[in-house]
Amino acid sequence: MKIKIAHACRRTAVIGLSVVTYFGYGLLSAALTLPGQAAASQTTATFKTNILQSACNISFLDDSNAPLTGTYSLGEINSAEINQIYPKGKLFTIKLSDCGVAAGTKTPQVTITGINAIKSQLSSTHANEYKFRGDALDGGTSQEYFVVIGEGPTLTYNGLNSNKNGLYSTKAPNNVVLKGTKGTSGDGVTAKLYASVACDDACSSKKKRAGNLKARLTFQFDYQ
Amino acid sequence: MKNRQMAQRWRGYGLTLLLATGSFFATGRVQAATDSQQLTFKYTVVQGTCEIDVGNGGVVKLNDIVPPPSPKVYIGSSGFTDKGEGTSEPFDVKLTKCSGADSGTGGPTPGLRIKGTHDFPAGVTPTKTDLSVLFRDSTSTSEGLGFVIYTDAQATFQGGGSYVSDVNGTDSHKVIPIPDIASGSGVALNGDKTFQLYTNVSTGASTGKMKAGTLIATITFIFDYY
Repeated sequence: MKIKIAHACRRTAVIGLSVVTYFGYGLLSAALTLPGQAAASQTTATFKTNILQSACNISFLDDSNAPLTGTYSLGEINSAEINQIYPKGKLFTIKLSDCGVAAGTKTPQVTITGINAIKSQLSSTHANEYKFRGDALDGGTSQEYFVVIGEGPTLTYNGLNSNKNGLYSTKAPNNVVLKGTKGTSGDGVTAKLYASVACDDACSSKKKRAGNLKARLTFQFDYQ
Repeated sequence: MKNRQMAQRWRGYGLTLLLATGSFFATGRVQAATDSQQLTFKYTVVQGTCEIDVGNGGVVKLNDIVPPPSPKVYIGSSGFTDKGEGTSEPFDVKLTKCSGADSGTGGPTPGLRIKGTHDFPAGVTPTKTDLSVLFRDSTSTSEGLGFVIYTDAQATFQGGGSYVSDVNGTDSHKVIPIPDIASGSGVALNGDKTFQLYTNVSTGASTGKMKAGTLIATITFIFDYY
């Protein structure tokens, strides 16, 4: 019985020695292959670019809110109803879309440019920058008449002098037909404009002739 | 008979004593082995590192960018450069004077991780993904945009996307492997190695409206074994 106990003790001792030995080698082995001890190296890089503002697309809608491209016909107007200006402006809407980025200090806006009537072809002596009419035949067969653009819907005549008076001109500051909110891109902003016909102070001119009338307008988007 | 029994008993005691003594010596060796453990703590094998250069002397400058009108957000090739949407710009990563010891199959391999600032304007609450992958310093004057780093010219976000996440971010994709060294191969990097990473600009999922201005991001590249 005591012999069996002694055998048991011996077996235990051998196992204990084996475990410890293995444990010792284990540590040694692990220490030799530990990669986590590496001192990581690092560097810093600076990434730079400039984000530029992008222009909006300008589109138009007619008085039925349908997309408008090319020529917008104002229809026929009886000359007898034109007392210096035909007061019933025809609606069209200007709309901004696909605008991209804005800037913190800039305001999206649209200005009107285009071909002003040639002074020598009109008897009217008032400010010409409110008057839109194509050059010579491009302006149509009528005479003394020109197109005006205003805030409307009722357009009034007041000499078409230097003051805006509800009409837009090709000269600043009355050339701004749409102004968005500062710091925004302007995406989705719209403005209602009205177009009509006038003859200003030359409606009684003997040169006045009925016929068709054409005017080319250009709308330009910018951040100001 | 009695003497013989006594003799057997003494032999038994003697054997027991002998075995007990052997047991004692064995136990003594256990204590000695414990001492040897202390020696193992003196061994610290340090994997070599590399010197790192990113871009052109630490600067990656992209040409001026006019963002697309309605840029996509984290969908496919969502980023853009001056060449348009879906493009990315390569930049060099140069690892030089590298030294290390192979650790065998299953062992760690060298790689890069990145970390940086993810600053967005007040009032904006970026998503966790925004804060993992969009890098933007507070000195930037543009808004709603950040730099994204990719491991592949095909800048992708979905599935096994090629984007790289900040080491402190919640997204995966945190380790940039070194080309030609398979993950888990235990192969170390020695000598010099130059390869390309890619970057572009992207809007986040919730980083506010875009505004024009400068976009700056300071990104730290960390070389280590993973």
